[in-house]
Amino acid sequence: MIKEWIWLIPLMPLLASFVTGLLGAKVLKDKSHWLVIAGAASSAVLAIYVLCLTNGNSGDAAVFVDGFEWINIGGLVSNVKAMIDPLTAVMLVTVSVVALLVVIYSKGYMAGDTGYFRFFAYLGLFIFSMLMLVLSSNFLMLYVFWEAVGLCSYLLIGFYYKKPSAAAAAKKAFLVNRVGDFGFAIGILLIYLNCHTVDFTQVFAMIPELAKTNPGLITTIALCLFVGACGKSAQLPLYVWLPDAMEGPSPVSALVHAATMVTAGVYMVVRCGAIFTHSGTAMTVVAIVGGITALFAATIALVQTDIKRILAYSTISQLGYMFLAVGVGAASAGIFHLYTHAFFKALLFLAAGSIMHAMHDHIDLKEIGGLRKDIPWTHWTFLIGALALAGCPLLSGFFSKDEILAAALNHESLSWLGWVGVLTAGMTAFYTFRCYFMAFHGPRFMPKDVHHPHETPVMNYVLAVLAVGAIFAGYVNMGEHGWLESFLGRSASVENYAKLHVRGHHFGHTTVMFISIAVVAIGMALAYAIYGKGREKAEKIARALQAPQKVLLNKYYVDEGYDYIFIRPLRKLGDYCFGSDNKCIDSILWAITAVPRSLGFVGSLFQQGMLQTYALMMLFGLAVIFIIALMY
Amino acid sequence: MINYQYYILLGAILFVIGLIGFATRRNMIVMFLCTELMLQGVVLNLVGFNLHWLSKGNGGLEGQAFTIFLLVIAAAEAALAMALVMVLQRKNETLNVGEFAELKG
Repeated sequence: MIKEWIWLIPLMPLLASFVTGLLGAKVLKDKSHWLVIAGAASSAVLAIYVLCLTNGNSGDAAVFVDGFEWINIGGLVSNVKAMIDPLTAVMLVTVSVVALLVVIYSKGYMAGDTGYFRFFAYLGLFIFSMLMLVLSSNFLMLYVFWEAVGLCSYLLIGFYYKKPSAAAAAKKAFLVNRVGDFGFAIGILLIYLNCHTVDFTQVFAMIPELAKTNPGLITTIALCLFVGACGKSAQLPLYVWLPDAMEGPSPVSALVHAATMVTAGVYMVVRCGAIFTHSGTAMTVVAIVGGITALFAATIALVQTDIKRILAYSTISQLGYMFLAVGVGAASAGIFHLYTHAFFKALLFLAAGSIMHAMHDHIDLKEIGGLRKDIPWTHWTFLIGALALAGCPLLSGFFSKDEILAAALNHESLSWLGWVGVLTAGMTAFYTFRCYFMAFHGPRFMPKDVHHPHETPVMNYVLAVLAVGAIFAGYVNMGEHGWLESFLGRSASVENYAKLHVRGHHFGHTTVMFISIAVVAIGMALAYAIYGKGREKAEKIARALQAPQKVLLNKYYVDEGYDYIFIRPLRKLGDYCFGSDNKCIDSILWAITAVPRSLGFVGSLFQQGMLQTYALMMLFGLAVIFIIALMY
Repeated sequence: MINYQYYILLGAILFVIGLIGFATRRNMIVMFLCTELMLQGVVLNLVGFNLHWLSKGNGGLEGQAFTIFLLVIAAAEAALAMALVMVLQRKNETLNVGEFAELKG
C-alpha cells in the first residue's frame, strides 16, 4: 500500500542536495555526485514501485497521503498532502528516471568544474521541487513548487554566473516566468474566492455547479491558469526565455528545459481537466496556442545553427503538440507525448552535450561538421534521438505524435490544427535531420583548438540507456487503446477529457499513420537532399531565399519587438521612478532633516572647545541659579 | 578664638581668586594651580564650620578630619594632573589652553 514512505521520493533528493550543499565545498569535493545519484536512484526505484501499486489499484485510483498541516488561517486550509493517481505516477516515473540518468551523465560532463558540488546540490533541489510539484494535492502547494522549480531553473541557467550571457538568460527566464505566474496566481485566487478552498478534489467537485451558474468565470479561471502554463511551458507569446535558457550546462537543458520542468504546464492543464473541460473557449484557446506554437517554433528551428538552440525550438514545438493534444481533448495522448518526449529530447540534449564536451564547448554548426567517425557513440545515439523526434515509425515519438495528430485531425471543429500539426511534423523531420546531417555527415571539420575529440564512458552509457528508452518508450501505448491510455484514463483529471465528445470521425488511425509517415519521409528526404552531401546546395537555396531566411534567423524579431514594446518603456519608467526618487523624495527628506540639522548647527556654535569659555559658562549658570535661589 | 566668619570670608576670597585666575590665565599649569586654590578655599569652609559647631558645644572634629582627607586626595590628584600636563607638553610642545580645542563642535 502507498503510505507515508511516499515522502521519501521527494525527500531523498532534498536530503542529498542539502548535505551536498553543506559539505560539498570542503569534504565531498569531486565526490559530490554520489549522494545526489543515490537520492535520485532511490526516488526512481520508489517511483516505479508507486506506478506498479497504482496500476494494481482499481477504479479511480487516487490515493492521498497526509503530510502535515501547513496553512490553516481563516478558512484557507492548505495541507502538505500527496495525491497519487495514475497521472501522478506516470509523471513521477518520467521525472525521476530521466533525472537519475541526467545526474549520472553530469558526473562525466561536469567533471573538473569549479562549481561541481554546487551543480549537484542544485540538481537535487530541482528533483525535489519537481517531484513535490507532481505530488501536490492543492493549488497552493502546486504554486509553491511551481515557483520552486522556477527558482532551480534560474539557478541552473545562471550556473556559469560569471558569463554575462548566462546571467542575462537566467534573469530573462525568471522575469518571463513572472508574467505567466502572475496569471497563474490570479487563477488560483479566483478559484479560492469562488470555491473557498484550494484542494484539488474539493475544487474539481464544485466546478460543474459553478459552470452552470457562471460559465464565464470558469473560462476566466481556465485562461488564467493557462497563462501560467504558457510561461512555464514556453508557449506563445511567453516562449522567449527557453532558447536563451540553453546558456546553462547541457544536462540542465536536458533535464530542466526539455524533459521535466517545462512539461509542468502541460501537467497542470491536464490536472485541472475539470476546469478546462467545462469551458469550450479555454479548450479552443489551448489547442490553438499549442498548434500555432508548434508550427511557429518549428519554422524558427529550420534555419538556426546552434544545435542546442535547434533543440530548444524543437522543445517549444513539441510542447505545443502536447497543448494541442490537451486542447482537442486527448489529454492522455498529450501526457504520452510528454513521457516519450522526455526520453528522446533528454537523449538529444545529452548527445549535444557530448558533442560540446568533445568540441571544447563549440556547438555551432558553422564550426563543426562531419563528426560521425570521431564521436561514434554520440553519432548513433543522436541518430536514434533524431529519428524518435522526427516521428520515424516504430520509435517512441512516432506513436505519441501519431495519437496527437489523429486526435487533432478528428476534432469536430479544429481539424485545421491537425493539418498544422502535420505540417509541423514534416518540418520537425526536416530540421532534425538537417541538424543531424550537418553535424555528422558531409566534410569533416572542427574548431582549431580541438585536436583529439573524445567521449567519456559514463556519458556514453547514459546515452545508450536513453537511446533504448527513446526506441521502446512508445510501446507502453501500442494499439488503439494502449495500456498507458487506459491507465491514465483512470485518473479523474484525465477522465474529464476522455468524457468530452468532440470527435467528428473523418480519419481512421491507419490513414493518419500514413499521412504522418509520408510527411516525415518527405521532410527527411528533403533534409538529405539538401544537407546529406555537404552544404553547397543549402547555401544556394539560402541565397535564393534571403528575405525569409533573415526573418527566421532573427526569430521573427520577437525579442526585438518585446524589447521595443515592453522592456524599453519599462526601463524608461524605471529611470523616471529612480529620478523622481532621487530628486523629489530625497529633497523632501532633505528639507525635513534640515530642521534638526540647523538646530544642531546653532548649538554647535557654543561648542568652541575652549576650556575657559566652558568654565565661564558654568560660572554664569551657577550665578543665575544663585540669584534665583536668593530671590525666593 | 577667631570668629568662624573670618574663615569663611578667607575661603570665599581664595575661591574667587582661583576662579578669576582659572578664567583669565592661559597657561595650563597656572590654571591647575588656580583650581587647587579654589579647592583650598572650599576646604577652608569645612574648618570654619567645624569650629562654629565646636564653639556651640556639640560635634567632634569631623570637619578637620575631612580636610586632612581632602588634602591627601588633592595631593594625589595633583600628581596625576601634573603627569597629564607633562604628556600634553611633550605632545603639543605648548601648554597654552587655547591650542587644545579638539572638542570644538
